[in-house]
Amino acid sequence: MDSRCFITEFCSNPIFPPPVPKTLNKPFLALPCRWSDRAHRCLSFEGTRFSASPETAKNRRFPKLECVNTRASQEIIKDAGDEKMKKKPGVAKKKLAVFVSGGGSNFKSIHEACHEGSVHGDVIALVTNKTDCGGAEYARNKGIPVLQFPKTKDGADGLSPTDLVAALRNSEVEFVLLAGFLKLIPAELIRAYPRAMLNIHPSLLPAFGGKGYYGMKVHKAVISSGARYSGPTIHFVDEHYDTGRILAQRVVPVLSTDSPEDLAARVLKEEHKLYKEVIAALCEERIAWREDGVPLIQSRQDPNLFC
Amino acid sequence: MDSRCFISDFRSNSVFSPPVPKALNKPFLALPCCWSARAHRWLYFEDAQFSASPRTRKSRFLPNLECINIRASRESIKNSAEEKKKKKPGVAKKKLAVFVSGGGSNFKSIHEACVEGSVHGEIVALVTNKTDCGGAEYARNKDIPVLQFPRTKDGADGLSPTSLVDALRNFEVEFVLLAGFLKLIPVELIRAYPRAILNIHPSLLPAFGGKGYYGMKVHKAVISSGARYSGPTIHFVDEHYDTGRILAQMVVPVLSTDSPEDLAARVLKEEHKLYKEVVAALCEERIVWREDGVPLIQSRQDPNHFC
Repeated sequence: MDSRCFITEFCSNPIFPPPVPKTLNKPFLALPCRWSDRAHRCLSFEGTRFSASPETAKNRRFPKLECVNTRASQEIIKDAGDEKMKKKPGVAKKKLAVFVSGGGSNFKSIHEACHEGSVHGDVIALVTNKTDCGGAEYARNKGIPVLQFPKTKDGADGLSPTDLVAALRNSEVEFVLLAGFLKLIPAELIRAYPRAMLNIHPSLLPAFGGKGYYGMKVHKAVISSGARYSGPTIHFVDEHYDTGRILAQRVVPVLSTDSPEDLAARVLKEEHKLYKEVIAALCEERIAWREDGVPLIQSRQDPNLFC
Repeated sequence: MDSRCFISDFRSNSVFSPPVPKALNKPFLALPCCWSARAHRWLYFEDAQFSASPRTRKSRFLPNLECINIRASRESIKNSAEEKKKKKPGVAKKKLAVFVSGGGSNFKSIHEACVEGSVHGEIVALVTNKTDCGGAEYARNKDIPVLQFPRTKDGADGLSPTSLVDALRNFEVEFVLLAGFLKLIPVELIRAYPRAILNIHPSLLPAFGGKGYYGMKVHKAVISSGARYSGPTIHFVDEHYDTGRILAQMVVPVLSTDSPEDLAARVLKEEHKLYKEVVAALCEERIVWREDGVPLIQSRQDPNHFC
């Protein structure tokens, strides 16, 4: 990332390059945080455009503030009812496409959240390599179009990478969410949706990630390594398996008595919560990019706080 | 590990092979745990020898028990003064050698714990590749012999691998603790001390481990990856960097505003606590090995609980 970038606004239009505001000479975004001993560090910035309240733009120096942590993030979901009312009326919901290969529990969870309003988005397409999978069935029941990708071996069914991109563009999809999709994403799609494609992986990346690490294999590997902690990771997608920039993580303990199924269930519970929180932030344009290229989530309650 | 092993006694004599009790057909040690939904799972074993209280050996079936967690481990350190009194009088302290390349903060922390009695051990030798490092200075001030390893390039100073092993044997060293030692441990030493060499690494292995990942480089890598969690890992040592079986871990958050130094300080604090807890367990022979080869720590308060 250009070293001149301090914090850039995350733009919902994936083709429009993000604006480059003036920067400080600090390599890292200086934000106050409760966990930090340096309680009086202040946020200083010059001319930085981002979707904060007008009050934030005026107040160039901030007193000690609390950093958003997991608990606060969970409060964001609980307060969703109140927050919905405060949103500007008439703001269009973000159009989402979800990619699934299996049962689609994350997809269902996200779809329900969109439906009940805690996520200001709309799942308008499901993409799958297995048109008979649980996720595809659910999509059809809900009237969501199902696209097959990639092509089958005989080439009879399924879309090519270019056709897939065209189909998503036609539907005006703004964000692509991978939720248990086992095929590699083609470069054409990544280029079409820079900083607009997310994946969820059931371990604390970069551990237990990469080719071959999916589903129960991940949890088996975690347990046999003796790792005492695991948890879901959500990251932006690049051309390789599980290597894009990390956006969010949660931690769960790994117990001495865990079977892979025990651990999988514990991690899955956190996956559902985490993906919903992250997509809510995405749809509300609360993703910001640190100078070194790490994406951060801006708190809904306090736009000065980032996690 | 031999599939017939159910749970093996960890013996302080590193050349004595652990006894092989009869096994069940269960691949994992079935222990009840408070976090598990299956609250009434029972512990089954047949004539398994291990250093538990006599009550444990008689009771073949144990009711729902709470699993030890990190919090319980900390309580074990607080209660150490009382525990000390309950110990059998005259039990010899374990002899420890610590390997250090730098400042030696973990070494100092463990040494102080030995002196004040919360760790039932004694550091009888310090090994270093840099005889003028902080750890070596501290050792000399405390009259702990300092050994140089490996040999310098000109071969004038330092021990060979075999001489090192001999020296440690002469000191009757039972456990080797690596605490910021930057050279690879020779295979002679690993063969001489199977399951008796520990290392501490400042990340959640297997992430950010391996050759080149040491000191501040680890924390820099963690921050640029965008990982939201880090923490120390203690593991047994094999012939490669940072790849032996994990024995204990602690988690700390990585904040959006962290510099590598901030993160390093937060992790170091946990390193000191964790290493002391683990070395205390080692000296009290509370390390047991799960059937799949993962080492576990037995709770001091409740011998039926493992972490």
